[in-house]
Amino acid sequence: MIYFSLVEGWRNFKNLGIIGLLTICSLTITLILVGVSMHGYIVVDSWRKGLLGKFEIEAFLLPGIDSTTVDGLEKKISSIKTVDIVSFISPEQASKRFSDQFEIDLMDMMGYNPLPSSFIIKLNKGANPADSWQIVSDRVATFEGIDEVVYEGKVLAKIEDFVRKTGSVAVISVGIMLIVSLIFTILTSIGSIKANEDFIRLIALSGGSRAMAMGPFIVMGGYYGALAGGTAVVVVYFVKLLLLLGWTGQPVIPIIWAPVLCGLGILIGVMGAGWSASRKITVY
Amino acid sequence: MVNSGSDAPIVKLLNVTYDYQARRGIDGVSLSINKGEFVILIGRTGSGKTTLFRIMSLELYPDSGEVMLSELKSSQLKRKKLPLWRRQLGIVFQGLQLISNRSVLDNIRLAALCERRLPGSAKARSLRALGQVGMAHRLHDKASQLSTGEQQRVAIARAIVNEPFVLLADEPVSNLDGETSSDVIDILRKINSAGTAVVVATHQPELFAKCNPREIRLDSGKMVEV
Repeated sequence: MIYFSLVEGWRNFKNLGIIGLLTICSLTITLILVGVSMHGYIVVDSWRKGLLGKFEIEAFLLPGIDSTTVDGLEKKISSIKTVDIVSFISPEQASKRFSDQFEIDLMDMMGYNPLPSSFIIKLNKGANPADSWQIVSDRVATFEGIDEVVYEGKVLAKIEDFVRKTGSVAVISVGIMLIVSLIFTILTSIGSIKANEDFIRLIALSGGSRAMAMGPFIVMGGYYGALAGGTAVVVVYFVKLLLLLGWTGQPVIPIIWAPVLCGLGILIGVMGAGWSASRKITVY
Repeated sequence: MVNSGSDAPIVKLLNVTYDYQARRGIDGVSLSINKGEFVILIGRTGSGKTTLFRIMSLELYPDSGEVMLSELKSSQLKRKKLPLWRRQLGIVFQGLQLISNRSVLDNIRLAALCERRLPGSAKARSLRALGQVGMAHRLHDKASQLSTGEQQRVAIARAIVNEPFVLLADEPVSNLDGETSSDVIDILRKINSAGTAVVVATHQPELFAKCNPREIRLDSGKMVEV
């Protein structure tokens, strides 16, 4: 029966009309959108993690603090779950960092070093900055011996906001396109079922099972999905090549995305056609 | 002498009624058809002949009454078992319903694929059925390229390819000339003499005289046995 469905499904697939072409186009666009979003998410996430690795929390110490307290504070900060690295910066090191960064020597300019001792805190790359950075910062600020805690909170919030908004737009667009493709697949299958009423009646009245009558139409949906999926894989691959061209630190994207995209296409095709067949084949 | 087949009924209808939305299609029909019997259903257009066939094949379910086919009863039949019911019947539709853009062989093979318990491949059985109706030489032609008489023979071949107990033929000679009608009737007679019960719906009963049929007359959905 599988062979029968494959052969008869292919016959139906070959007779696709305008609505069949529209189905394949909409399904292809949907899958391209899914593929690009999938890649986009991995790239943006990699970019976000890379960027976050460069951010740090700076906790300034009160003047005149002794080395025992400094050691104790370092241990306490290190013990916070999301903290990755804690580095102590003495006033001399802070002055050097300042002059390296801004090319100004504070000792020359002011005659003394105004910078206090501090801790530079880096968080785990996987930590969610929207929560973790604020939580760590607030917690460190409560420790005895800490004068002030600063970090680039606004910049981080903007990055997070951008990632979240982009993700939401992608999810909504993909969702809408999925529904549109599904509707097109259903309409095409209904059209094909109507055009093949004689075939269905013949199968039914010759003693063919319901599955035998439905099979060719479900397989036809699968062919639509496979064609759309295959096209989308090629398009997404070239889009990826173009976008990531010359980016040396580009993230590794697992190749599983290609069969996933094709599989999703086939699933939509089979679901749409299967639903239509189950509703419109009524001679049983 | 009427060809009444054996005494064992293969199809039985008990007080079957079927209503279309605006009118009564079948009104309390009870009949039985024996194994190997040749029966003709006579009646004017709209008398219920086609409806009765559609009820026998359970394309339509009776509103009341019971249809029995071999051991199966329509009221107790589960949907899953419907193909089993229909495999025991061969149907020659009034409009023939051949798939015009497919070859003669393909048309028969589609039906043959529905019954896998018979010995021989679907293709071999299709060729044998085509041989029985004298159409083996046209197996690669498209159905649309055949004359009406040839299409009728192909439709009969398709109906007998699964070796049914009963062949239902709806107006099989209504659009044919005298000679072609006679050929088709001969084919039906041969099928019947091989043991298949044949039920023909027709408004030209005189053409079937040589088959010695039992005649059943339908009038406005009601049965009048002759």
